[in-house]
Amino acid sequence: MGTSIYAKPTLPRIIVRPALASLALHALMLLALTVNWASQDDSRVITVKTIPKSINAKLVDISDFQPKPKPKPKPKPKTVSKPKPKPKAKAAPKPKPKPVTKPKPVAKPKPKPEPKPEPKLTAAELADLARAELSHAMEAEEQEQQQQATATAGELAASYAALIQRTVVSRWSRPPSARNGMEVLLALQLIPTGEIVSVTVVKSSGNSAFDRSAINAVEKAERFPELQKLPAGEFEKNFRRFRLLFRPEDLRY
Amino acid sequence: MKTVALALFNVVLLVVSLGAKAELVIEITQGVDDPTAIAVVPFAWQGSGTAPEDISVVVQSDLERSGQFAPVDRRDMLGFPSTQKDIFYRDWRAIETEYVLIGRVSSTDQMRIEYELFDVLRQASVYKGVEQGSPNEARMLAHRVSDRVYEALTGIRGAFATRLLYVAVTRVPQGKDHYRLTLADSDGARPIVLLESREPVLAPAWSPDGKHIAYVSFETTRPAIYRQNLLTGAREQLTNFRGLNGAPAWSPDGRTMAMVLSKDGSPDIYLMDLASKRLTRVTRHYAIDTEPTWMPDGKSLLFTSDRGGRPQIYRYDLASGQSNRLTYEGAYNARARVAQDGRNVVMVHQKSGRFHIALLDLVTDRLQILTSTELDESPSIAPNGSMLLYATKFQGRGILAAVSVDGGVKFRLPARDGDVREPAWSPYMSR
Amino acid sequence: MKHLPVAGKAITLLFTAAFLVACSGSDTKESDEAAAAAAAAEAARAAEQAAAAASSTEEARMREAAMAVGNVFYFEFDSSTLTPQAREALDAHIVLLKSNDQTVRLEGHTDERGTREYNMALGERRANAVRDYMAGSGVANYRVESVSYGEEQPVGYGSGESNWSQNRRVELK
Repeated sequence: MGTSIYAKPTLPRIIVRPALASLALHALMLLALTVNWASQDDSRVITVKTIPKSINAKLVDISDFQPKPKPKPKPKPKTVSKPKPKPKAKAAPKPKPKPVTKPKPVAKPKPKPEPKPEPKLTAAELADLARAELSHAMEAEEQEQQQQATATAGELAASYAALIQRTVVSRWSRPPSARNGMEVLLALQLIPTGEIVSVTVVKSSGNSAFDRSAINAVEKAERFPELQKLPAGEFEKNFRRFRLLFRPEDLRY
Repeated sequence: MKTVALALFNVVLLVVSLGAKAELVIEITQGVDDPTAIAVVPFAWQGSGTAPEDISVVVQSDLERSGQFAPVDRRDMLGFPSTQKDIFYRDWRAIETEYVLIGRVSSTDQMRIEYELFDVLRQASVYKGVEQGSPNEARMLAHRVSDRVYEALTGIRGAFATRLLYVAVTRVPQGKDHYRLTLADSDGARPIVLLESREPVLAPAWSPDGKHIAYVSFETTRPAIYRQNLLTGAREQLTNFRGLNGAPAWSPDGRTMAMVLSKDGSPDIYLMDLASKRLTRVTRHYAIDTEPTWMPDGKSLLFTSDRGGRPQIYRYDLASGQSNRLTYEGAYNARARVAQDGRNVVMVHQKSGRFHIALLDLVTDRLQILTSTELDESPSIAPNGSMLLYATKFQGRGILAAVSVDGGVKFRLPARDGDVREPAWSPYMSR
Repeated sequence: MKHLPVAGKAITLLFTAAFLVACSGSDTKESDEAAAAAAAAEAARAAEQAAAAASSTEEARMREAAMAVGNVFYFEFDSSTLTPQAREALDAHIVLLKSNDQTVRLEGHTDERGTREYNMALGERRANAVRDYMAGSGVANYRVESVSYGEEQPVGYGSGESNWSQNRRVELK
């Protein structure tokens, strides 16, 4: 009996635990899902809609790691795009953040000198103050740099998205049956080398020539080698899988 | 705990896969619209002797003329496959070819062209077809191949297996000019003279089924409208009125012909019921009303009128009997022709003293000048609405030229002896 | 041209005389009458010929005047208004036409600018402008036929105003 008594409570525990676990998991899942829904709709979905030209001006020096001859001569990019971006891409994104941080350290030291007129301070106290001030300034800078870093991550993703956009735009030759507002949604799968490993139609336009023109624009690109420069996390987050929505706006009608 | 961990792992996977819903979406709203690189590989000849016609040459020049394609030079091809197993996609990709068209031609009593189109990038067949017919019609069969390929790749029906009418004139110094009403393939090949005259021949027009034509001939020293059966050559004089007898235009249903007569005074538009020959007067105005053309739905006509002082395009609604002016830009807009979509209207438009072909979009009301030469006239739109032919002058001679409806592609048709004018692009020919 | 109707009239007279002679038979009385009739016919014919001769010199003078001004009348671009020179030239032709009952043909032409069918209408408008001017001066419309050739039959081939101005015309035939 005793064993059975002892055994009894254990049984429910075994039963209850998974139930609890599954409940918790479901809640977690729901939470994860809803969080995902909410956040992704607002921030994770980077809809690069702007015309490439204007993106150029906005972005983190994208032109530095972008192959220049791309937009016009269609046949060339393949050979040109590979060797070029490698050496430059590393250097380019880094120098940028600095100029942005500049104004802040300059601004901070200024208000500090004001309390100085207090006469009773010893050299040691002054030194302490200076040290504190310095660490304070450094802290502030660090904070700003951190903010800067997160901002840069977002901007970086946007600039790579813009790069992909430009590459595809320069290879997209629409058939004469294409009309403004037609839409075909493609799902792309990439590997960290930037190579496209699959292209599938998620939502067809209903015009096979139009769909094919979109697929072939991607196929012609073959790979986006610049993505190799992305931190692994960034690649996984945004570029292992992403979608391309082809929706012409510049046609005659 | 193990189960929990597994369950958690599953959840993570689920979240990831469901999270796919929120993938990064990059919008592509622009393109470059470069011509598509296509290799038209010489078709393998499987008959005896030599092939009567190089089918692939005809197909290649058709596709090139459309402006939508950039055919690969034969000399750049690394091989001439004629079956799928012989296609090495990597080779074609290396020379930046997007599509490869291969084919086999055999001929006994009938010529048979088997062909297949491949997408190099996706390494897949796009279209496969067979065309059969008399060896005498080899070029027409080739144009049909072009039509199929064009449609598969552009989503628009091809218009290569169509024909042209035009008037060729040879000047005779100190004598009367020599007029030849001519019928040719859409690429200008195989011209056949339908009517020869020492008096003016003009305004050739097609019946909607492509079996009859109409034109104006001065052979009686006065203008008269004639209808001619292309198959039998049988000909009938439809009008013989005092004054103008001109600008015949078949209604889309083929039963009525719009025309210009001045028998009642000034030039006006009339409709002739072709079965009964009964006439109905459409416009009544002391000004010039001429150059009628039908909207594709047959419910209204466009015509040129100088009732406002200068020639402009008007639209006459058959149900209401009302005429409305359509063109306001420029002091001279005349001889409209409407594309099958009922939206694009091409016309002769004068700007700075020069006559160009312009396109009016009836939806946006935007007028776009398509040509840059200065004596451009007689625009005629292909049945698929992609290109239009027109007459112009080149080195002092009348020639035919073509331009795409977006103005992007332009070319001149091979020059022939004498002046060539008034092209009329046929409707789709019944197969 | 004008000689033909005169000769025709003379022939008619001769036939009438011959008919009368044939009908007269062998009767002397009748043959006398016949002789008298023949004489009368002869006299009439002579008179007719004299009149014809007189009118033909008058006509020759008018014809010369008409030929001197030419039979081509020119127009400004996209216009069917008669120029003062064209009116003056036409007046000479009208004088001639009013002296006879000939029919004439007015062929209207345009230069190569503009569309063919519109030019066909414009050519007719020019021919009709000439016709209306003639009608105003007493040449009945039914004697005048207007035919437009539009830009189909240029006199000056090639482009440029020197050619175009030659081609914007109405020819009287």
